[in-house]
Amino acid sequence: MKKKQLEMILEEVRGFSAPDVRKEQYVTPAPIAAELLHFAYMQGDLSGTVFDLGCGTGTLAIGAKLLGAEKVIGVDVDMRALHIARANAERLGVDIEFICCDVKDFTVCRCREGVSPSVIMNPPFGAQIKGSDRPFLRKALEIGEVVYSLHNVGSGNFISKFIHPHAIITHQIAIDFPIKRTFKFHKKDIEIVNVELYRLERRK
Amino acid sequence: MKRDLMDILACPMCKGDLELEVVEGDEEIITGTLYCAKCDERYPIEEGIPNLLPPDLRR
Repeated sequence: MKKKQLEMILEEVRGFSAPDVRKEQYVTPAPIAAELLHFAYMQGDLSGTVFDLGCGTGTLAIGAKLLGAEKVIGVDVDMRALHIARANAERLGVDIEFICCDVKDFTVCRCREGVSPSVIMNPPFGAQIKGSDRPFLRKALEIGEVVYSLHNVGSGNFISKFIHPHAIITHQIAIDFPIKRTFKFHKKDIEIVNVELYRLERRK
Repeated sequence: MKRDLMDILACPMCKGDLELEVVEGDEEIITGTLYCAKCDERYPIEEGIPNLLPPDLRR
């Protein structure tokens, strides 16, 4: 599937009915999601089991499945968001498992040791609650062999230190990230936020 | 959730195994419970989505 085609399908994903500002709930814009997914796909990281941590209404999870991932699991603390996510998946004809759980508490069964899933995520950036991206990074590297994660521009030093010595940054890509006005304090209808996509790899 | 999701799920508190109790569904579980014997805790599966939140945070 071409990136543009994926982007057009992901535009169909419905967003939050009542976004929670403290959780930084907003839909990952389709062009950004397509960018992350296409890149991960080209690296060969979307063929097996894929986890979407903090999946919200399911954009990244749905995209991963559309690109042929064998099994996709979306985890989010917000059950209302997951109901929307499931409806989105059904409407777009993809089979995804959704689990309601706090990301920091989510545990994958020990019997899965030896299996190496990928993690894709658009975690909270910590704009509302400082450090709220940390439990996501920690959990992603606990579950996944490789992790694709979106962050604020200039997070490279922090991430690199935070994941040391367990993992390394293999790729760092700048993306312009348009956020539609979601919360009252957003001043413009569309705000361009520059973000970075990181590919992290756990050290063997 | 599909039955084979049990290969992945673990108790969020003790990290131990969960037992599936099905109320509605077969391979695709619609309603049921995930039981952790160690914590003696039951996590509901509602409308096909397992809810692993601690009891006080469930709506």
